[in-house]
Amino acid sequence: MILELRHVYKDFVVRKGIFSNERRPGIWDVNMEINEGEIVGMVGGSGGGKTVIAWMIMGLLKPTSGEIIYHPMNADVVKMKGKQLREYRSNVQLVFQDPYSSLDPTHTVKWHVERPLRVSKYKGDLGTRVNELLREVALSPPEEYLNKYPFQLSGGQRQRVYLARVLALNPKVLIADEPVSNVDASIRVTLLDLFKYLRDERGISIMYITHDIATIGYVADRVYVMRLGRIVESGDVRKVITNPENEYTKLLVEAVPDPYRRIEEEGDY
Amino acid sequence: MSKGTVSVEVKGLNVGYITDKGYTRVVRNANISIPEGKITGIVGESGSGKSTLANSLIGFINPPLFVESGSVIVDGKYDVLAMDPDQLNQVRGKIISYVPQAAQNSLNPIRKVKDTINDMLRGHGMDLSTNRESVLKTMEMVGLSDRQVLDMYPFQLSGGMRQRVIIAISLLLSPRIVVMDEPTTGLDVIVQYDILKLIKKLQKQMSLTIVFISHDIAMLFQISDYVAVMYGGQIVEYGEYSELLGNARHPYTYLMLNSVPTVSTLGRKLTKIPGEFEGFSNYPKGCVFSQRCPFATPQCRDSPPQAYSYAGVFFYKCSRYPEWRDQK
Repeated sequence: MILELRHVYKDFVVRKGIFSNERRPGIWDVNMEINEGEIVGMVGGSGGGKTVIAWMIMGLLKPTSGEIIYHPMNADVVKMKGKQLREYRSNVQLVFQDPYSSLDPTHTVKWHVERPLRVSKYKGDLGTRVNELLREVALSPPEEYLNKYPFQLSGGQRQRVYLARVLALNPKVLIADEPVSNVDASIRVTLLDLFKYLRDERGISIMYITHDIATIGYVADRVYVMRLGRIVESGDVRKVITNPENEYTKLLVEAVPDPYRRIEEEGDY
Repeated sequence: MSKGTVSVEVKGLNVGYITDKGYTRVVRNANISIPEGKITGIVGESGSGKSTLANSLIGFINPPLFVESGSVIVDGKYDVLAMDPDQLNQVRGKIISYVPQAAQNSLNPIRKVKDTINDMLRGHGMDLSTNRESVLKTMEMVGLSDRQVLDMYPFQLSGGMRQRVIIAISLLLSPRIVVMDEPTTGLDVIVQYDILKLIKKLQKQMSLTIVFISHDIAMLFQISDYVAVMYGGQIVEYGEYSELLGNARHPYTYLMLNSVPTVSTLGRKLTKIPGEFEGFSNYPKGCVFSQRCPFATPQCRDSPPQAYSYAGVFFYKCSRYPEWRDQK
């Protein structure tokens, strides 16, 4: 086990008036594990709390109560500060949904990939390392991409530039929040396979967050199904998808687009 | 499909955009007969020209969009690309209506649902007070039977409810044809599923002709009776959904269908489509898909294939069919 959430709760404060606030439970008693070298999926509809959990793991939001333990550093993310938090964040990285806003439009690919290397005071040759990273995310030959700006790249290419940037710091864990949702279908498989490659060849543990239970079935080993801030079902991907026990999971499996299943109208309106 | 009637007939359509660098043609020589009383899906990736085609179907031609040549005949008699704005206003909403992309997010936030509906009715010389009954009936049909919805502001409605309002508005003047551009994008998976079932129900009840545009090939095949696949501004294949699903004649259709992970094909190896579309400024000389096609021959890259038609109105643009199917 590399990362662990223990009894995590998160309340949100809703303003009711000038002086009165109301606390509403957002995340409720979530226990989660990310193991070494696995892709673990987290799936659920909008408002299920998926992104809140991702942000809490990154230390961008503090849980109301509970612990988030990062085992290699043997520390609780909630209590991390300064240098320790910086070290943690180079170990655990976030991949965003929208590759159109996660890159700076005024800088080139080269700048984007070099930047984390410079910040972490990389000792070796920057140019070689950048080329290496770009090749790793299948942007080859790298020379073709180095001097391009984000607007000259497609969604899939941008997401790969972002991944190269993330990999520059040799992370141990990736938290990928809907990483392929904004990418065209024909490019999607290539990106999903890239995640599998990172798991198998680089030994990176990945938490793959999505609303699409079908892509979870393709990449993940285990899955957590979230609904309204709670885990409603978890376990081996194959088992959860082919034989869901929870009503909500059943609904997710039924609702996910599948060209081999027709939509028939239903008279429950 | 020879039994059915054609609802929208597109012939030799070339549409593009005028930019600083000159004219870029996007939709290239589009020919398609959309049958009456069915759901016809148009699928393509971003930049394949599907929204441009949709805009042309309803005559939304505003600069920088520019029609070079071709015609769109709606309902057998309305040549929408040759009509002036007043004539178009007579056709829009009543014969053919349009649900644009992300419409659920473009409801005016400071106007109540009923005001938005009233605005739309007034544009056609009617108003809410005299048409209250039919408005309520339409709202009920889309699953908004609670009359309070009319008095609500868009921010008080969920995404799914807003989409239902938009669908209700598009149906108010009882059009026969509805063009829907990505009607479920941005909705929750389960809400999306409900909206799809609603669209199917309305289509059956009112015998509507629906043109359903989406980038999601899996979803599109679930709901469409006929499917047109677009790539690089061209319709590369058009046919019955079951035929495309089981016996695609264009490699792009086949590869796309095999690249989506689905629940029923869990664990199956997915196909990758190498490369990316070259773009409209660097348009391929031969077949538009030849640079990425694993079955392409030098001849494919050299000269564009013709449209081979079958069963009347269906067609595919691949000179390697049926040979390529044995190589897959």
